[in-house]
Amino acid sequence: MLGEFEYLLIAAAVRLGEEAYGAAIRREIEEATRRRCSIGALYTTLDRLETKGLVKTWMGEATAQRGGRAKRMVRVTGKGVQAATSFYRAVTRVSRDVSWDIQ
Amino acid sequence: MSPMTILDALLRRMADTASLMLDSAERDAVCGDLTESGESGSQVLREVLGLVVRRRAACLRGWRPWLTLASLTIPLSLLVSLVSRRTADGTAVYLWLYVNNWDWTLIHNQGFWRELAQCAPGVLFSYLALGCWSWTTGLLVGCFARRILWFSGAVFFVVVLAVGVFGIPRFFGHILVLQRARDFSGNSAVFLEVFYRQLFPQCVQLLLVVLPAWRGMLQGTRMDRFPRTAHVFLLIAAVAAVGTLVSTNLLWWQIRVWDIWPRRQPRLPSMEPLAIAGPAAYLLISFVWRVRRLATQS
Repeated sequence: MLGEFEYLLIAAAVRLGEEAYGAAIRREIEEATRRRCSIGALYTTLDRLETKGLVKTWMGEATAQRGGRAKRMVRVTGKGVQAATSFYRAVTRVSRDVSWDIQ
Repeated sequence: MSPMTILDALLRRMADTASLMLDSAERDAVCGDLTESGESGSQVLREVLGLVVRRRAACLRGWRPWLTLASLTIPLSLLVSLVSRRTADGTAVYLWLYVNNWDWTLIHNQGFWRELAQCAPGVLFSYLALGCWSWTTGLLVGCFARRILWFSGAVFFVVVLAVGVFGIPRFFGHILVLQRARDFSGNSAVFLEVFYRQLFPQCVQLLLVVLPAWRGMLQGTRMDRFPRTAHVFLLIAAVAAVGTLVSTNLLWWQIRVWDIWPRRQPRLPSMEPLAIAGPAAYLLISFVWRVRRLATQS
């Protein structure tokens, strides 16, 4: 079962598609959660997900906007999509008939 | 340029330096991400340090780093500190004799030169042995705790410093040689001097423990450049040298070396000359390796 942050990272990477890399994923997560996302949390989680075979990463091209530094590109694997789907279903199932408005 | 701009540039420079502790690919990706997001210098420094701390902490997961620490780093740093304390005190007595009681008329005295010729080699060898043991322990720590060298190195030096300042619990006196020259009342005049009591042991520790051990640690992390057979040969020599470090600290061994008690048991040899085995093997291997590399290049 994925953790909450792992799910956010995979979902952001899937949304970004070909443009998924460190800074872009971080922006997506910050916009979605309206909270800061630290580089440390992002990169250590990426490593963990890669070890589990849920994402694949590689060094992309360098751009002038990044001071000539390369990007760490991310692609979610089939196993990653499966894990995110089952996490989403579990959250949906457990939230069934729960109305957060009343609290 | 406003002070804020200067401060921002300084913090960015610090972040750049801190990022050197990351792998080169990761450093590229992280620094690029932070440049792209246009964060302030303080934020960049915080983010980089956060990742460095997480990466370093990840190396401490599992039992291996802790086993290395408990079985290698702490015991060796403790033993080398004990030798450093004894060496500093032992040689302080000779220093006090010659320096604090100096009289120019002594240079015309034959007995003075004979006495000096008898004690100087012993003093110099005790310094050499201490430096060699420190280097060898550093080499082993660097070799076996390469991934957590920052942590092992810190623990090593903290133990050395703590033993130097606070000493060691008396309980260890049952198994280790804790007596020093200052424990004998005949030497009290020497250790009434603050220099010999406080400063001299710290100087010996810095010059003959901290610096050689640090050098050994760095060289230990680069042992892979040698061929496997040389690597094994060097490890055997280092373990032999550390064996002599252990024997020189073991109370029962030293009692048998000094042939104090009980008389019926055989006298044991002092293993101190083997202290140079580690550095000697390293110098030999480095020399052979360089000659071979030059031969293949030409």
